[in-house]
Amino acid sequence: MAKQDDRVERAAPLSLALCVENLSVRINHNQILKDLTFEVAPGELLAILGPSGSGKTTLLNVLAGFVQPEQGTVRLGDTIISSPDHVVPSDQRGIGFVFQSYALWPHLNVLDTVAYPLLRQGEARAHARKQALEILTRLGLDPLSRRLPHELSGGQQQRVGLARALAARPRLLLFDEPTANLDEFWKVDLQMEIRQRQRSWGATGLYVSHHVPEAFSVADRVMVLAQGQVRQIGSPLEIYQEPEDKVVADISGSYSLVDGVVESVPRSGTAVVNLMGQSFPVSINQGIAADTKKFIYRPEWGMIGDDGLSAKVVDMRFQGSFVDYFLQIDDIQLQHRQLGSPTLQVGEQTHWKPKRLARWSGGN
Amino acid sequence: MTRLWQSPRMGGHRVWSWIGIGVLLAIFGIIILWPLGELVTAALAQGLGVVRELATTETVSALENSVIASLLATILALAIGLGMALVVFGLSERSRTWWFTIAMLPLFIPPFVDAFAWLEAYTQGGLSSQLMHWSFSWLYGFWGVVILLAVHTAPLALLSFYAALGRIRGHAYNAARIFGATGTRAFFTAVWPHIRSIIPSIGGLVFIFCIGDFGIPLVLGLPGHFLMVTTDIYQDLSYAAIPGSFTQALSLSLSLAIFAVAAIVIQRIVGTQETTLAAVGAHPWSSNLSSRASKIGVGAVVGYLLFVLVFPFLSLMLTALVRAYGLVATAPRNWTLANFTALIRGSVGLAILHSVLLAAAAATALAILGVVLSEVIRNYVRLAIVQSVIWIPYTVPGSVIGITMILTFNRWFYGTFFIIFLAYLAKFWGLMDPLIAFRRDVPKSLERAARIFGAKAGRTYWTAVWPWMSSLTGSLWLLVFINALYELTMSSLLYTPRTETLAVVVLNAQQQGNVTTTAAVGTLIALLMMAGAVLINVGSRRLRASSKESEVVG
Repeated sequence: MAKQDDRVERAAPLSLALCVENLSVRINHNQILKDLTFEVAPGELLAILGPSGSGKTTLLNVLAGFVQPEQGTVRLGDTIISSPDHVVPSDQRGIGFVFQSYALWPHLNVLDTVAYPLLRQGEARAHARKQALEILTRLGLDPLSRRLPHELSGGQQQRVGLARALAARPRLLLFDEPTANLDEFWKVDLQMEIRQRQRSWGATGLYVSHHVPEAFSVADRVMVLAQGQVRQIGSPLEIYQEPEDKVVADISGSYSLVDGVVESVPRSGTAVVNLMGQSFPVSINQGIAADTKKFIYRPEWGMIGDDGLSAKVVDMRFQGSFVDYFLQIDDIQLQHRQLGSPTLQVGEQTHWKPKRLARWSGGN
Repeated sequence: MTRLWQSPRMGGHRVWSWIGIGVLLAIFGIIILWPLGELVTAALAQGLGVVRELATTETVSALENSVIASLLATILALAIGLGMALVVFGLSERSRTWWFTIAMLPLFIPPFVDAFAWLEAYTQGGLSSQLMHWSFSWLYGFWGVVILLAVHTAPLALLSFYAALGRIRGHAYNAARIFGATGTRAFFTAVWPHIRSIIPSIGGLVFIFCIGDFGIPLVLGLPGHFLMVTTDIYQDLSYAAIPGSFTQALSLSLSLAIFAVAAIVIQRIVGTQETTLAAVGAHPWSSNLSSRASKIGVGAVVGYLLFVLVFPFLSLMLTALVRAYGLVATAPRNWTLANFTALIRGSVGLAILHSVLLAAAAATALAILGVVLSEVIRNYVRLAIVQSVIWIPYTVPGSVIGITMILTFNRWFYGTFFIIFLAYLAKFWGLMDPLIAFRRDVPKSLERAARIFGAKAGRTYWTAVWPWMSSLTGSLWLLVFINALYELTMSSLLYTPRTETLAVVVLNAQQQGNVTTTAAVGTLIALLMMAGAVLINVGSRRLRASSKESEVVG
């Protein structure tokens, strides 16, 4: 078994990098994408995160060849696959696509669905089916090979979608919110599967999502899109800890804003910050300058206890493994997260102090 | 300017797609726009003659008869249709489908065969007078026409009401019940408003069918000196030698077309107000009739169908079996199959062959046109205008189409099957309309998946679209085939002795008083139609199954 696995794995081609330059798209006079530039390294999985209408899906459609750009180029390896005057047809791009709606053809069984891309590449039917069965076996789907799509659960359907996308050893894998239609349990399960398969295949991938934990957990890097423009590209940790503007901060998780003054920067990565008259040594990111006046506080970046600023619990939300407290400190309200069961009640007094802060770049 | 590759099919094949569109539009122009234009031009050319003709007593009285009889028949058909829909809807899901199919059968028997069967069943000397010594003297004339039109169109109303009931969700009804309404009150609060809102559109449809029907007023109206517009046109054209008769037919056609189009326009305007709420995930409403009410309802439906369908059809069959007309039809010793075997030998056999081939050719051509049009409209939304025009001929009475075909094509194709074929194309293209909506519903992602996984244009259609379209295309093919096979109005205007169709043969046999032949052909057609109805039913059930799959997928 292991031998067979290896063979399929080695059969995967060397992945090529994707390079998008100055890409703009206009549909029905609406500017959907504007001057987008980014690269994806070989074997890398880039998540595209953005609110509805940010242009995520349109970007995938350009990469898949369904939409022609107004300007800019899309290069796959050293081939230009999209430009205003040249579009390589979708069927000649060598791309794998995992659709939000699964897009399984209702009359084809699992085996023929996965064999389809191989058949279109000119493989003989028997050979294509044999290869498809190998892939299904690797994904643990071989017992389902004779079933029709409507005889599968949502999670199984999407696994078949994944197998089909991997079947033709694509140069680039595109995922369009592949877990959006699944229950929570299947979501996490499939995310892990996708991550694992993409890595073991060594394929370059783009993963569109509007679900932050999903994007953070599957991707090597995250690109935040808003109103058709790139707002930030970075590792999930960078996006979370150092959001470059309000949109990125908003989309990447809860936060509160606090006013303060940087008193000193004893060494790189730490600072002493004065908040409401008290000084706190905190971890900081690189971008904090001496003149920073406004800070982002993520809910788990501090602690409550006996010392710090006096705070009153004005609201709380029990979330299972953690509790979110809403604290009133002077005239600001701040969200603080604590692991475990609730220890405070609404109305109780406590003290809060920050352990980490980030510079706010979102204006006033 | 960014181009949206709406259709993966189009990539690299634009020249071919434009050629396809050109051919399609040319066909559309030749068989639909041109004839309609000819009708208007001819009317204008006749000028005042047409207007004068419209004001004559005969025209006015024919119009009046048509409108009043059609209105009355419509009201009756709506009542019957709604009653049957409520009863059938109250049954268990399993038995529903069968009862529904059975209740739909009268629609599949050609109107003139139906009328003839009623004559055999309920007139003096018919089966009822032989068995029970009673008969309906009113069957010839106004009431006979009204009742038969209502019987024939009630399934149309049933179909629409039944579909509407299926779309009503249960929560509004349940809410009314929870807040203290009795079952009846809750029905009027939560269900009736939906039904009421679609009455105008269903009524419009039924009215158009009635006013355009030719077979029933011909068989039941003419002998009772009750003239409707369609029969008037037929008479005018039969006596074409009489000066002015063509002008008269022309003005009658125009007035009929105006009525039909007006009814459709009103129906479209009022019909868009349907207020059915389809809440996501809510359960469909179920009428939950008590078992007693259900039994009474089913009893009424059975009684009705025995009266309007089974008994007349039985009478027709007995007439067809009897050795010589006038002998007691219920005595087996008088039975023979000679009438049926004679059909195959004589001119009737040829007519059957003509009709079957013509109907198959028309159905096939229209299936191709329908599929191509659905593809074109899917990709070029602006051409949806074609869709709104193709159903006009279907709603315009066959007599009018017949006249427009004569005006346009008689100079080249007089006395050929081709002119009848063209008339069928023009008349029934509208039946292919559901393909367009269905094509629009094929999930785009299926096509895109095929494209991205390496399929070219043709293969993409074959993988992602055709499996969705095939069963509906099959059902519509059958629908056109059946409609063309029992089409009487147009072929009665367009046929020559060399190009007789099945319906024309029945008509002529009936006019010549050749009752047993008429009955034999009628029986044959009715059986064929009913088999077709069952086939369509099976087809549509397969369709529902495949759309269930689509819910899972899409």
